[in-house]
Amino acid sequence: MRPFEYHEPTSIEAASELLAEHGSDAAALAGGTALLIDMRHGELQPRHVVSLWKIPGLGKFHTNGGLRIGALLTVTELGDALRDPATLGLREAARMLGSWQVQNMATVGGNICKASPGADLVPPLLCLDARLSLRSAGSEREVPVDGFLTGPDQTALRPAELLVSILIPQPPPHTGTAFLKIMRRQALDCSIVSVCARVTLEDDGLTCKEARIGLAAVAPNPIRSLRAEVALAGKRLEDATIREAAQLARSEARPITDVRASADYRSHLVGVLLERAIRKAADRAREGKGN
Amino acid sequence: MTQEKVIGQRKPRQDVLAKSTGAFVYGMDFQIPGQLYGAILRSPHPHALIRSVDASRAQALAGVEAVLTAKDLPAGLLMPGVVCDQPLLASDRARYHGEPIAAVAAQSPDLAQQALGLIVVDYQPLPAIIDAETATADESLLVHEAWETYQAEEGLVRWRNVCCHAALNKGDVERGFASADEIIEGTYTTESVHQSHLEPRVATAVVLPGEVPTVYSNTQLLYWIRTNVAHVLGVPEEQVRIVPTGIGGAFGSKLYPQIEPLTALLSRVAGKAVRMVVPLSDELLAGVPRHPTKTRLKTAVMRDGTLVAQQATMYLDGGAYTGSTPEIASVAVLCLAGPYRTPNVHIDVYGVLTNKTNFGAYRGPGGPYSVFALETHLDEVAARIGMDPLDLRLKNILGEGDEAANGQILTSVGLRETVERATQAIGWREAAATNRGKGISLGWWTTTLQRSTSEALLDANGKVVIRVGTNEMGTGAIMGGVRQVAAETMGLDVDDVLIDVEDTLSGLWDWGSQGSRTLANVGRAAQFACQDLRLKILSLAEKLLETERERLDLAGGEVFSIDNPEEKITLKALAQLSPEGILRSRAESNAEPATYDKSRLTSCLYPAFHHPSYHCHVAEVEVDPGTGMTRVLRYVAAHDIGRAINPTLIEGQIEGGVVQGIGMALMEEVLYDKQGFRTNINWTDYKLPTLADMPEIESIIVEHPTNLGPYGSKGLGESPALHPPAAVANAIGAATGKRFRSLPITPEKIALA
Amino acid sequence: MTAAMTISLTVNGQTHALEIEPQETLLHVLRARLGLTGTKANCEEGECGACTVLLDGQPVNSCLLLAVRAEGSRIQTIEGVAEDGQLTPLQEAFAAEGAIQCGYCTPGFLLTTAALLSANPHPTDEEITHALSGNICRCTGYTKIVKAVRQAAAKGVQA
Repeated sequence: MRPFEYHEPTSIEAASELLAEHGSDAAALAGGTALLIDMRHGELQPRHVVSLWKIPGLGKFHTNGGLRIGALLTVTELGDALRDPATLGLREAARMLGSWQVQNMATVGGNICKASPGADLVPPLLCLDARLSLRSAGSEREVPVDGFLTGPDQTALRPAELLVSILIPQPPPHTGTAFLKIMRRQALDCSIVSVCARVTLEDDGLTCKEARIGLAAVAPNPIRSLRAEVALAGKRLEDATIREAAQLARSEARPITDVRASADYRSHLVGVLLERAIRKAADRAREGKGN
Repeated sequence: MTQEKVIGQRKPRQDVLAKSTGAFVYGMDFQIPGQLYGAILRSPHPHALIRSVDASRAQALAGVEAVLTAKDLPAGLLMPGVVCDQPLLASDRARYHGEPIAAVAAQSPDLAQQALGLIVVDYQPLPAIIDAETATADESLLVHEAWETYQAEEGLVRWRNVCCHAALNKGDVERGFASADEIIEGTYTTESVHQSHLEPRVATAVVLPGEVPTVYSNTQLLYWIRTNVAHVLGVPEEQVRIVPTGIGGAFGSKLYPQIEPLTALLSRVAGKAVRMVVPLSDELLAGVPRHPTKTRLKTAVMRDGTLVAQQATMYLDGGAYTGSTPEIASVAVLCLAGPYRTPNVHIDVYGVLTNKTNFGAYRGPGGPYSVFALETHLDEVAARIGMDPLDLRLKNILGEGDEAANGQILTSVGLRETVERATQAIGWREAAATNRGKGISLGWWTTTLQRSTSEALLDANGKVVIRVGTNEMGTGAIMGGVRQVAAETMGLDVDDVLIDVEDTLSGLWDWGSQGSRTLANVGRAAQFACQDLRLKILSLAEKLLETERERLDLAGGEVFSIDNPEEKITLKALAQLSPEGILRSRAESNAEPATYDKSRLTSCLYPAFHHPSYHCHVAEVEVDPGTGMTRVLRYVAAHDIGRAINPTLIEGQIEGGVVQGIGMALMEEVLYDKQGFRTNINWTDYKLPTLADMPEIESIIVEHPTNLGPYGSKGLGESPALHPPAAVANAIGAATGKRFRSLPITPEKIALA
Repeated sequence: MTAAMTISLTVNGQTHALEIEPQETLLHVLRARLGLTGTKANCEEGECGACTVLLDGQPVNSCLLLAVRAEGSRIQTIEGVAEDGQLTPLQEAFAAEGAIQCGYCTPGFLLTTAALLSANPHPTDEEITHALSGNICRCTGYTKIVKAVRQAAAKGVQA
């Protein structure tokens, strides 16, 4: 790894100023599980590494009409904090990210901002209509996670801007989420495909009021499938409806062939996994039980 | 017959305490103050002419103390082997992606890497030969244009890119085909898989003027490393000292002198110790993984299940240099024949040179891909005649006193028992649930022989020290099994026996920890040495106790009179009273190889399986039809190992080999692209089985003793890895109704089939 | 261009003042500067778990952690497990059950398991799998490792 200068700013402003000063010569350090590998391979060679860990308040978790997740909350801390059927999909994604060791180090903010095509936490965050709180020395803004990722390893962060927290609005009643991930083995791998489904049911417990579908590793970034969501909204969740939604999601996926899998297999998996995820999310919405 | 005290017991190993506290010193932990750091420059091309190598800027870099390129080596230096075709550093031509071109030693690892970056090599890329079968054609480009000039072992049949054609002929296959009810044909392909030992390959060389050239290595075969280091240094072997460090896994990979000769030369040039670690990316790029294969099988069978004729043609992709390929081709011949009665058999295995890394020994070389081809093929044969795969096996397997395809007569044959007990344990005849299926694989395997030497001595405290010439690589054969054998022979418990692995200056020549030979051969040598030592002890006790030796016995750390047990002396007291000092005894094991019918084999360097073991595995899998993911639910492995010295060690070998085999079956593949470049050179993209991939494994120990290893034992280390690809593939076939003839059987292959 | 810094690391209850460069990982500092070679190295990308140490009781891959980030935390390596040479029941279980073959993965497994059992003394199979899937073993096929873990849990052993 090329030597660098190490900074430990104690405020968001100071961190933002450092990032502004050094521009593309600087990298922000959160969990480091992706950054250190990129640096070791020479893909990133920052002369300045800006640790975020001395900034107070970035690792907090609040529940108060929704969830406010600090960007430096570790993936383990996130998974451990979630038990509601509405957010179980996010817990499942957390527990399938890398290994326990990686989950203890990687952060929610880091997983989002690394912007991998297969970022595990993003499909559930898309399903939960998450919003991102961004700050720099001079400004603050809030954006939806949907649209924040603008290409592989690319985000809509402005120069010197930091992600400070992730906000999940209170899910409506009768909501369930489910996350499924297929890898080349049973654990410890990037996704070949991962999906998350959110189903919000009407009071009758049978009709889908509203749905969200999140897919990862089938496009440059994780995406929603609006066509699938529309196909489910207002409908009774019968087999044919679910299958149609899954196939519509397939049509919106743009998978590639790479070392892990072919585009054909990825496309096939979207259909298979989504049917299962929708059913599971609906069951959770119905039962309203925890894990 | 007296009851054994420690044989067959789950006694602890000598090394586990140190390993559980972090105190154990592996090669990776061994450092010498003041050492330099070595690194290798590797070819970025699969095949290229090397027009020039300019290392002057690397030489000039401050902190670089040795640089080696081909022109710094003796002209025409080729490494020892069955065919001497491999240089230490590529000179005029690079023949595989990752081939060593140059080496440096510098004051820090970073400086060494910097130095590599300053070496300028002018390559002219050439087309790469990457398909073994087409490489056998007359019009194919040659990997070695000068193949005819190389020194080669006599009797080896080789031409052009074929570095070895091993063949077996028994009976007349054409007549067999003509007489059969059904003929089944199939082609089976397997990819290379890599040993992926957790500890890297590491060597530290100290070659200083006036001192014995020394290399500390985590090798599993000290004396072959010695041969190669001596060869490049130009000194007699006996003057080279190879010192064992702890080994963190090997599986065949650490048999090969991948870094020791280079490190020794760097040390000699620099006049300082040089340490070299092979980083994982280099190990995966240019290690010595398992051969890729393509096998065509054609079998003639009668409607009642009698196998009448079998023809097999295998292309064994050997990579760029001959290496171990001829020997491995020969083993493949025997595995393709299998332990079956088939009266007419013709097998051709072609070891073929290509522009890839040298493929070589990985746990059961010649085995898993042959067993995969044969045993999945036999399931197809059974299906064709509507017979249960188990019944087809039972009808055709060899038994006690039968003749194998190579003409060797089989004794101590526990095969039928392994098949019956394994299939019983898994409930073979029970119908499987939807998406589930069971698959079987069976076979035979060798207990490699060759020489082992051991010395037993009685130390001043009355403890027995066993000195051996090969290291513990993790199986427990040395630190567990040999210790138990010695303890039993000396009437002691294991705590009173110390195993000492010696460097090569000891002269305790040993063919190494490999080939399922370790416990049988090293244990046998140790047993002989102990028996001799026992006689010396009793002879001394005869004088001290004034009792005839024949009326004395040794047990519990004491020599005592059988007629009057109160007349006794402890080993400690006896040791201290010994007039000749330390009592010691050196012995050798060099057992007779199996005999066979020479007329049936050509160019087979490994023509028979010695004191064969027999085994049967049955896997039960569940396949998710939507995703194609296979879960191995239950796995039963029955092994006839002659005699169980320690069931914990045996189960450990079975469980470990099975999971490695599941890796080969479902997820592991060493990938080359169409131009011959390696693509997946990290563990992110070379997938090893995790704990989540592990099935419930039941090990069944079967004992049909043979007169080789101590107490009747036969080899075990490799055989558990032979069967999982076949057993799992057959189970997937039963679960899905589809046959998969290529490995690995990934979820994608299943889902899209 | 290096920028040496002084950090303080508390390893196995002992605090060390170290002059390091920022790019040094905790793995490197433990092995090369503190001579604690019980923590093992190979893949350097979080894929094998051989480098696992406990950071404030939680297993992490020390190959992916800058040493400076570990300042102020309690670091435990395998050398800090046994007390006064007395093996813990978990170490004894591993040794006795045949869960150790070459042993290179053992420090990582022991620490991860200790962390699991501390937080969850009676883990389900799913929880054991979740906790230990980040530690690769190439020798044992995991079977005896799981047996040792289950046995330790059944006995109420925590470390």
